[in-house]
Amino acid sequence: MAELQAATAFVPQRENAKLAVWAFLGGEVVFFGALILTLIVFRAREAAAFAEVRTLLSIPLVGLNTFILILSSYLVVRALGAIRAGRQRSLLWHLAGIFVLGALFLGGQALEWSTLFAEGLSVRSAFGTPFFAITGLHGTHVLVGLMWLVYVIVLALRGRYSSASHQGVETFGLYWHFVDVVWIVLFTLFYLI
Amino acid sequence: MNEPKIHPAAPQYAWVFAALVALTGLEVGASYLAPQVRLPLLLIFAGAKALLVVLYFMHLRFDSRIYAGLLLIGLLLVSPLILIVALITPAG
Repeated sequence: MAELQAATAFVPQRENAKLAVWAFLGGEVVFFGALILTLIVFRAREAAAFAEVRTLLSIPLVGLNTFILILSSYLVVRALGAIRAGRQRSLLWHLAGIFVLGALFLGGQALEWSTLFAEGLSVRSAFGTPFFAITGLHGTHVLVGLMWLVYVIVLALRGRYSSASHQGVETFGLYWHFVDVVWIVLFTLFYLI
Repeated sequence: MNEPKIHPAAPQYAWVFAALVALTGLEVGASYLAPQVRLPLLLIFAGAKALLVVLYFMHLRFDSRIYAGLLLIGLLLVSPLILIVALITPAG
């Protein structure tokens, strides 16, 4: 019993969720790293196909989508700042903004995909296979983030968060920022290089 | 693993956001340069953006080193693999 008390005194319970999210994100680094590895192989072996498809990609549209995701990340830190200051209404507005921006990002990605399909880009092509697989998996992460966000919004509406207790907002934020970081890398590797 | 002692103020976040937007603009501009010029530039810009998000938005600069360690373990596992494959994969 004394050992248990000593352990819980050393690691506060409220920090365990945050630790778990960071451990999960460490695993996600390996997951996306492995995907990027396949992209490097495809790119090296099919350089001509990648150069050809580059002309089909709309850099302005994807640049706008990147801006949307970065803006949503900024709203996350503002949302956290709002609840740390005890401003629950401000928290809700920021969370709603993040949801709209996340949905816009997915809409932009859907628009881009449909345009590329219309241009004749196949999922089985040298560029299409890694492109649709990796951006699709990233989009799935955004979708999961939106579902998580709905849960956070529901709890915020019920007044579960306060200046003293807001780890649910913080852990969601960590995940959302990570998804943003992954997009920063993918944006460079697929569209710009 | 206690709460971070220092929380960056709102203006600091605004500067980070502005830097991220500026870097994205620079990236888009650099993408029109010759391949041998744009490659190092884009890698530097992307790395700077990722670092800004991780250090400031994710609070890794102010938070417990344990969190940074967890992220680094993932990076250390996958980075050598990416490097080796990039070096040994023959160009097509």
